[in-house]
This record gives sequence, C-alpha cells and structure tokens, in this order.
Amino acid sequence: MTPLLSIEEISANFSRTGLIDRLLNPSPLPPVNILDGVSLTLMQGETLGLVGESGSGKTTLARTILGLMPAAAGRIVFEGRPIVSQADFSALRRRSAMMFQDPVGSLSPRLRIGTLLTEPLVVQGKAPPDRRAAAKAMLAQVGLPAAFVDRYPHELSGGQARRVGVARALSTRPRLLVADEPTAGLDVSVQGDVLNLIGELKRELAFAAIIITHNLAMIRHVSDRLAIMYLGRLVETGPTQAVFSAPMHPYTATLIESEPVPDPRRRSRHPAISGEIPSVFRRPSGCEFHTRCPIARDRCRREAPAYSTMGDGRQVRCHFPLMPGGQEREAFSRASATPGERNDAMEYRQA
Amino acid sequence: MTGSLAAHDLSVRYMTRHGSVEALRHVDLEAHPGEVIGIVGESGCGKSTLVTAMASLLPDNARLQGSIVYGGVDLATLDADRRRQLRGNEIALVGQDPMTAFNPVLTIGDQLIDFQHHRRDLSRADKRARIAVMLERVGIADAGRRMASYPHELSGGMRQRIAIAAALLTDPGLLIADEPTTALDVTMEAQIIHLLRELRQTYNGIIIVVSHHLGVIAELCDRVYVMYAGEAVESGEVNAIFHAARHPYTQALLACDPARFPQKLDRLPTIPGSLPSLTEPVAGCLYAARCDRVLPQCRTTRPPCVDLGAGHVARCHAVIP
Repeated sequence: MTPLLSIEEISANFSRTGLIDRLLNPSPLPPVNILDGVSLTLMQGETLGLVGESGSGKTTLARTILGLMPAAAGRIVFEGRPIVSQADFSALRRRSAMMFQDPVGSLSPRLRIGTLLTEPLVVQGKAPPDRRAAAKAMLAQVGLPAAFVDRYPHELSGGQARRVGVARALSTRPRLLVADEPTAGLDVSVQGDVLNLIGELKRELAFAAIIITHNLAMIRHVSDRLAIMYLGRLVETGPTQAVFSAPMHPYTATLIESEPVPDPRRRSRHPAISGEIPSVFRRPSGCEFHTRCPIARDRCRREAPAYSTMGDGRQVRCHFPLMPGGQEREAFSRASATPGERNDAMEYRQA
Repeated sequence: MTGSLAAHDLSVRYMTRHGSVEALRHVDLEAHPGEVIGIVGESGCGKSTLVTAMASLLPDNARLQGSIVYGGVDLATLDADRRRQLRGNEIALVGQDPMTAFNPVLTIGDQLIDFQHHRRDLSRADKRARIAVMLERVGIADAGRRMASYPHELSGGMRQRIAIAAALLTDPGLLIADEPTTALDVTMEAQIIHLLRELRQTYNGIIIVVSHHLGVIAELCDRVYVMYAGEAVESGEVNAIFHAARHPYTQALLACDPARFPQKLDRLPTIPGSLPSLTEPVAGCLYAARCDRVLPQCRTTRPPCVDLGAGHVARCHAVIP
C-alpha cells in the first residue's frame, strides 16, 4: 500500500530576511536550522501523534508539510505525487485541512458560524447551493444545534468552538487532517468529547490525521503511531502502544515519567529530567539530548547518533537505546531514582 | 505570623449588565499551617473566584457574603489599607502565566528588591543577599547573573521558579499557587511540582494549589476540595478523594482523566451535559441535570453536607454515611 504522505529528510531554516534586519546586520548570521532531516510516512486513515516540548519544532514541521513555510531541503510525496512547486502545494492544501491551536482565535470574530463553516467550500469554488442548509447539516454532524448558524464565535464556549473548527476543517472532505493541540485549554471532560468526535468522523470519512500535542495521557488513546521530536529532529517513532510500554529513547522515557499521575499513592520521588530544552541557536554537540540525558556517556557528547531502525516499525536516534532487559534500561531506572546522579547531569549542563 | 485560614458560608456574586452571576455558593474551607490544600475543578467552577477572594483581590462588581478568617482577622470586613498590608506581608500569589508576572522593563533583581519593600529594617545589600539565598532555594544557579537579567531573557520554567521565589521573599503565611504548571511543558511541570514539594519541608505556612489537572493535585496536596458550579461538592484527604470518592461529580471527573487508563481506549469517557447557568438560581442540586444517580429530591432541595468521617464531606442526597 502506498502511503498517503511521505516526507524524506525535510529541513527548514529561519533566516533574517526583513529589511531592517538586513540594514542593521550587514553581515548576516548563519541561518538557524529548526528542522533537520525529518523523515516520516503516514498511511491512509492512520493517526500519527507528533509529540515534544515547546520549541521542538512540531508546529514548524506541520507548517512545512502543508507548504505554509518553505523547506530548505527534502522531499514531500502526497498521494504518490512529489510536491515541488507552489501549485503542487496548493493542490495538497485542497486535499488537506489544518486546525490551529486556539479554538476561538482561529475563527474570525466578525463572521457568523454559518458563514465560517461554508467559507472553505466557497474558497475552493465548491459553494453549496444553499449555504445555510449546508452549514446546519455540518453543525448536526458535530452535535451542535442548528441555531448556532447565526451565532458569533465569542458566544461559544471553548469546546463548542472546537467542534465548529472540526466541522469546518472537514467540510472539504480532506484526506489529511493536521490538528495542532486540538484539546489545549479544554477541560478534561470536554477534551474527551472533542477527541471522540474526531474519532467517529475519522471512521466515517476515513481521513488520515497528524495530531500535534504535548499531552501524553491523551495521545496514548487516540493515535496509532507516535513520533517524538527534540530540537527539530525525530528521536523516536513507533506504534503508540509499543512506545508507551517500552520507550527506547531516554527522552521518550523521561517524558512519560514526567507526566503527573492522578494517584496520590504513586507519587514520583524525583523529577525524571533536569534542565530545559536547549536553544536551536546553540545546539549541543554530539547527541543533542546529552545535556539532559540521565545515562549520557562520552560518546554521546562527541558523536551524533544515527536514526536507526529497530524492527517492529520502530526507529530511534540514540547510541544506547533502552532495550527491554538491557543494561541501559537498568541504568536509566537507577538514574531516575537517585538524586545524586541527577545533580551530576545538572552540573554538566551548567558547565 | 502563621495562622489558620477558614472560609465560612462564603458566597460571591458578580453584578453584570446581564444580571448577577453566582460565582461562589456557600463554600466552607479550612486550612492549617503546614498543610497543602488542593482546589480542583473545571472551568467555571469558581476556583479562581475563591482564590481571588482569599487574596482580597476581587473586582469592584463582586459582592461577598460570609466570612474568610485568616489568623483571627476577617478579610471580608477589613478596610482597604489593612487589607493591602496583609497582601504584601502575609498572603502571596503565584499566577498561572510566568510571562506576565514580571515587569518587562525592570531587571529581575530590581523587582525582587521591590517585593521586599515592607522590610524597612533591611538595607538594599541585605535584600540582595536574601534574594541570592532564595534563588538558590528554588533551584536557580548563578543568582548574580539572573538578577541582572530581564524577564524575557529567561525561559518559562525559570520565570515560574523566580515567581515562587518572589512570593516566598515576603515570608507569607499563606501561599496561593493558581494553576502554577499549566503554562509549562510536562518536564518543567514535573520540576516545579518537585520544587514545591521540597519547599514545603522548610515552609511552615499554608499552601493552596489550584488546578484543573488531577495529576498535579494528586502529586502535591494533603487535602482536596472538588468544586462544581461555584460549590465545593466534596472535600477530604487526598487519598479519600482519589480512591474513595463518593460524590457522583468527583467520580465522573476522575473517570474522565485519560491518564488513569494505561490501555488504549476506543472512546474516552466524558461527562454528558453542560454546566448549569450561573445567572439563574437553581432549586436543588447543581449537578442533578448531569448526574446518573439522581433522586426526586435532587431537583427540589439543596443537598446537605454528608459527613463521611476523617474530614471527608460530600454534598449529595445519594451519599449515605
């Protein structure tokens, strides 16, 4: 089966291009690479969870895939066709939809819900004969009352606005849905509602989805595969259940351990990770995670690890991946249990 | 000074153009020095109004009934001047957004000195020395350099650490942390939880943690108040709330948290229905319309507080002690 989307070795740079910047800095700074060698495939109907801390490049990757940001290098293939020119990207965007982070903020405050819902169809030249009726049908599909067609976005709660966002994104029957933090800012009971809705519509309309999030507890239930990013690189990919039950990259393992558990009898004794994500302006040498890794060794500081395939559809970028029963795994659990070693890692970071 | 805090029959209404909004209804709350109290609930449950009332920061259109007694003084009847002094010396608030907690045009050091303005007995150098000690205590190395930094030069996690340091510099008897980790990444969240837990070993006042995140409450608190539509529907020891919850809302809220299920679920659990309107008075139980154990009297009579022993209280008709 050919994948719906495959991206190969995508890189993206930020460079200073504004006039004032160029006048103020006649000798330009070297461009900062914010995505580096990202390769991913997405099958028809699959849900991929894209996970990482803020600043890891998740949103940038999504924007690059949809052509909202230029890629510096790499190849994108969508439905078997390479995407090269702007016209190709326009065609890709007609077959895909993006849901942006802020549910209310991504709806224009001056348009009524009915207009907002049918706008994508009008833009694509597929305006329905009766826009009002079409909008009401869409509202029914996402479980909102038909009377909402005359409302304005500010009259909606966060959960309702998110439902409108889902209806609007799916109005053009996309093959690919990119959802950037679809449940950020929603209450836990409403979050389940929105995700169940996306799941139901996904079964009905059979589109593939990329869900960008830092909410591990949620993504575990809604994704088939996970891709974990750190400083603009993928550090681990694999089937969701396999990654959660046995993470191979120490970063994945620390993310999972950091999640607060809603059980006072299982309180964590030590934070699983020290320090903060480094800046892309000053990438660490060797493996970029070594500054925070509890089991980093000399080799990690010198040599960047390759992105290696581990079988069972898993890939990991680490010299010493945590294999079940392996000594790295043991060292990792020891390091995350003793505060002494943690301080060593902290001192190293500050040096 | 460290004193106990007790809110008794506390109600807050906001007068708006569209009528009066009942943000808080007859809340009873108690906290003693050395305790970490959690307040948990979804948006619109009144948790922010409750902490704003405790910090005496309610806006002008708020009408307060009942009492909030802290260290023997009723904050509700205090005049503005005394209240302001109390806020500076006794009650400190750590907000959700570490970006807006500081003035962007002053250095961290200058702002932390200003936080100690009530300490007339200390010189500027003494204050700087106190700051250095406090920054170290919240896990910030290289205090001298950090004091010369502006807020935008620091990461979110570091700013939140400094906000906690700023709050502790005033030696408060009551420290209120309103969603202290919501704006942070999960790795930073774990570190801030750990920091607050370490601080309580040496801090002997009251800490109140407000969060919608059940995990944060479970990690940090000794006792928990669960709020719904302005009412404290259940309260008790953290273990009782998380392992033996009796109120149907608490049970539903806990059941919704995807973090409780290690295996993949096809459908995430939700709470059907929506919050009752806060502008219209409700005759019976506020949760009746969404409750799966609703009884006839739930729609007509306000449920009583049922005492379940060991400080565990649930406001529900269906709960039998």
